[in-house]
Amino acid sequence: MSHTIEYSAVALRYDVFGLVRPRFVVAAELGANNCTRFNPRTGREVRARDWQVQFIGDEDAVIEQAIWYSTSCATGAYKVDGRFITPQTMLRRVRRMLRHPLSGSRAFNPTITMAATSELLPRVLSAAHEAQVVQGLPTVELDLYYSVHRVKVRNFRSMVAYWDLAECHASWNTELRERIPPHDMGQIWGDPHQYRS
Amino acid sequence: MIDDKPEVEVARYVIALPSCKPGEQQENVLPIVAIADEGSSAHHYKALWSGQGVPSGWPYEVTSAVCRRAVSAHHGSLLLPSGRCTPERYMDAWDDAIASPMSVQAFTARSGLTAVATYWFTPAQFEPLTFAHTDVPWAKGADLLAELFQERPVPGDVNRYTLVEVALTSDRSILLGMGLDLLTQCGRRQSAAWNNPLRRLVFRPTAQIDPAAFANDSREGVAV
Repeated sequence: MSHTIEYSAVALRYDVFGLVRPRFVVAAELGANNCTRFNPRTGREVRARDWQVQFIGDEDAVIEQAIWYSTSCATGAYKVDGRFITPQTMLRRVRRMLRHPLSGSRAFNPTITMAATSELLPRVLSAAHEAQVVQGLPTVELDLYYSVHRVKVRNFRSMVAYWDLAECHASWNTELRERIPPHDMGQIWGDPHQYRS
Repeated sequence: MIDDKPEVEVARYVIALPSCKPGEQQENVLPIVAIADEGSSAHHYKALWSGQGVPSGWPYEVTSAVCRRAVSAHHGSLLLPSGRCTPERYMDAWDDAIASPMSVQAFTARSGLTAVATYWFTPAQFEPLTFAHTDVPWAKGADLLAELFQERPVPGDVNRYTLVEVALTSDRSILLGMGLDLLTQCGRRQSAAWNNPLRRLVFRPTAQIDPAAFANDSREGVAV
């Protein structure tokens, strides 16, 4: 059975001016067990892997997302270093990461990516407008990903507005029919340990 | 987000259901929780079942259902008898039940309940129904309809494997509900044969299933 392997994970902490509680991004290096690529340096075939945003929001939101995600551990669809873990272990790992986060890493790029046909697009665009995205830069881009037109909203000037947007739409506990998964709420540029502020 | 009245979960059971396919090796299980009734020492039972299809979950699906329920524990809307608990502790509380599933007989003896899935049909849908997997004394739904609407006593013990309910919808049209005892193999086979989305699963006290009451009064029905 194909499954996702977690190779490494770390919590990034952001203390945003204007927000009472700190916000967290749990970044994980993930890859499918059955996808490979060739290492350009050694020429060896290795399993494909990328850093992604796994959970995002304040501590409560991160734990809630982790609970929902832990069902994947129960079914064996998500493994850590190729080994089965229980949902409880997964939650305890996330709590441990939140207790020892990296502060202010520059590896996280707050870019919201969504399908151009998404019902949420008008809301995100209007919220981005209110969030005073940096003028003069290409803040809204259109790209094509596996034949799906996607919109990227980036260069938020106000991080308070970004976090409001992220928490509203990344949460499973929303009345909206559609949600934006955490990995589309931002990008991780690589190993966050190498991008310390 | 804390609800005004949190649920207090007093016990957890995993029931090993009989296999519904010949030669099937995988054991099907049904997770059930006992919820304390507000203001009394009694409790009622609830199945952790999504309502899609027959409850024939595989063991890992129980863990998935428990994880989904653990979100309520995180929000504080689900409590253990000892009070508020973390999602991890709530999942730990299921460990014993998951490790040793209970037999159907043991659960019904303990709770005095039987699991009944009710399938709702309009008379037009009900008429051509066949009951290949039950031993009801009528061949087709049309036969039962004739008995019901001519106010003749329905032959046989209708409540042995099935239970009929009649309900009125808000627009005063009639719906007939066929209940199947999902803890029996024939009930589960029939349930699998009917791919009807209008269904619900309830736990009924076995002693309250009274054929006479059903024959006389059930057509009054309740609004659904």
